[in-house]
Amino acid sequence: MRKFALPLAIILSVAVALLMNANDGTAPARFESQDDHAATHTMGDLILRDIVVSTGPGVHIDPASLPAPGAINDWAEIRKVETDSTDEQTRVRITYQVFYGVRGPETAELPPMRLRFEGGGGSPDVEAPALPVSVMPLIPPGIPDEKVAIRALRPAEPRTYSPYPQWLALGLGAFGAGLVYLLWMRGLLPPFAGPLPFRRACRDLQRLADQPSRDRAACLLLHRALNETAGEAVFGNRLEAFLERHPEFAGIREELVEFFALSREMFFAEAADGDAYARCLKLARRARRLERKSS
Amino acid sequence: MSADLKQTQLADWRQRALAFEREVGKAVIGLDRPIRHILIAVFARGHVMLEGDVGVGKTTLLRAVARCLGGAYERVEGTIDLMPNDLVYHTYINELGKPQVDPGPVLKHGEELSVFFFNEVNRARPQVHSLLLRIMAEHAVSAFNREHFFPYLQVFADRNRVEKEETFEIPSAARDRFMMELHIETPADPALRRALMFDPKFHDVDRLLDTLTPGLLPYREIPQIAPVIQQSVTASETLQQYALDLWEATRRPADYGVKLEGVDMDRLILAGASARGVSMMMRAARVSAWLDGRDYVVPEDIHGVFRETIAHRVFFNPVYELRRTALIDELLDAIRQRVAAP
Repeated sequence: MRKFALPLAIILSVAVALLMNANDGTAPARFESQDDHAATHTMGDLILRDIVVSTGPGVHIDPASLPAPGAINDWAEIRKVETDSTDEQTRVRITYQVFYGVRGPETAELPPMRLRFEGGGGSPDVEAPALPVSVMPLIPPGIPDEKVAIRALRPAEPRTYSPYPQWLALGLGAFGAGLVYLLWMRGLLPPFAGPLPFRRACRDLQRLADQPSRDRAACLLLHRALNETAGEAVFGNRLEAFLERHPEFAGIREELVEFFALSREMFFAEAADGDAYARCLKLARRARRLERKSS
Repeated sequence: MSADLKQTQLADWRQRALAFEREVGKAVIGLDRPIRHILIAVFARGHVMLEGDVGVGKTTLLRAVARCLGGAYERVEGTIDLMPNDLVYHTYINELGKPQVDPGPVLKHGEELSVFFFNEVNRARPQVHSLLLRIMAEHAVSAFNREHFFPYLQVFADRNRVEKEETFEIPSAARDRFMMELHIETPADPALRRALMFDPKFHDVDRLLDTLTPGLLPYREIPQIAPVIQQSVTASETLQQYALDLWEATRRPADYGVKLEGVDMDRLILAGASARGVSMMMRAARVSAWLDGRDYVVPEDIHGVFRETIAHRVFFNPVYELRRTALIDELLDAIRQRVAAP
């Protein structure tokens, strides 16, 4: 009889344990919160709570037993309920938000809840206990509302500054190019004389100063400057049309008329004019000044 | 002839020529430029083709020119059945019942024929064009077993550009014989248009022409003074180079930077101006200089006759020929703008 006592006790204890399990309508579960219990919360904070239940194949949570989003008491509400099931376990994640403003530290609790499971030969329920929560005021105690300095709960989000240097470089580049173009147009960049025909004519005329037969060459240089300015060949009978398109030279109309008369005599009547160079140089200089003003 | 005498003679002739121009201008208003060109052609001894719409005054202009020029004037109407012989003789049965052959419009006045006006020349057949070509080129025609000469003859022709049916396009060789082609347009000036509409003196052309002084120019002497003008008016080296550049630009415009919108410049020109054409251009330019009181030619003289003497001598490739009217003016303007002198 004695030799059967230990095995019998083991068998009985196992049976009692099985009977107790059979009578217990709860499934093994663990409860996790994203914040530790030492954390305190203020109005607006989110609290995440996970209920992880070990389940077998074919067992699934009854959606009707899940809490509905919305206010649950005077100080908190459920924002979101998410479930994630596998063959081994079901995770229920509940997101609470505190909307209760307090004047001093208080302790509240998130209420308990019962989750029901179906399938797998039984309907075990899971009882999630209440979760104590510490709530702190937003403003320090003893300070009237009107004297409260609103502070950001979080530092400002870091922003990327990568486009700004590019835009700055582009802007500076465009400004620089514009400045160079303006200087070029005004003939202030000596290596790049730009579209200033009379400026070049003056320079070329000065080079002719020591040449023996310079009168015809001087007239030719002036003709070329006029043609380049007009964009076409300018003849004496088209001088008025030229001045209409280039009113900046109206101030030297008489000199231009005289120049064309001089050129006609020299090139077509084949008359000599020993004074042609000086007259051309004088006219070119006047034209250069007018050209620079208008550019 | 001494130089002074020659200058005096040229100055006298210039006064006569300008008086002739003023007199013709009394009968034909708004056509100052064509009148000047006809005057140039008279002293450059060139024939003239007139082109214009119906009723713009071409015939009136020529009748006025003929009256002030003096000499005999003959006019022929171009028709599809006109034959070359119709210009030379006229056969009919006379009052005695016998066949008779009389000289036709070309021979009727003998050497005195001064102005021969061929109206609507493109209605005549190519055979007639051929005879006209010979008369224009040689101032002579063979008839009745001998040569007949017309030393004072100047041919004016009119081409109808409105109607194309039953017409024969004048070959380029014939067109090249005309020194100038003049475009006669209705005056743009509203005052001149009003005068043409409402002034009774312009309604009776015969009476209007009767008011003009006849024979202002001694036409028999023009063939003698014309070469004097050509010899007296000089073309400098610069001017000659300029004229050569213009000529070359009519042949190869792209080489001179000439560009026309929507035109492949390398394919535009089929044939540029001929040597005869640019020679006529320079003859006309010299007369223009003389009429301006100069004894040397300037580029503006050439500009004044450039279109009239060159436009009908430049031939486009067929793909562009249909747009000729618009393109030729654009081309010649662009050439004038691109070619510089000096």
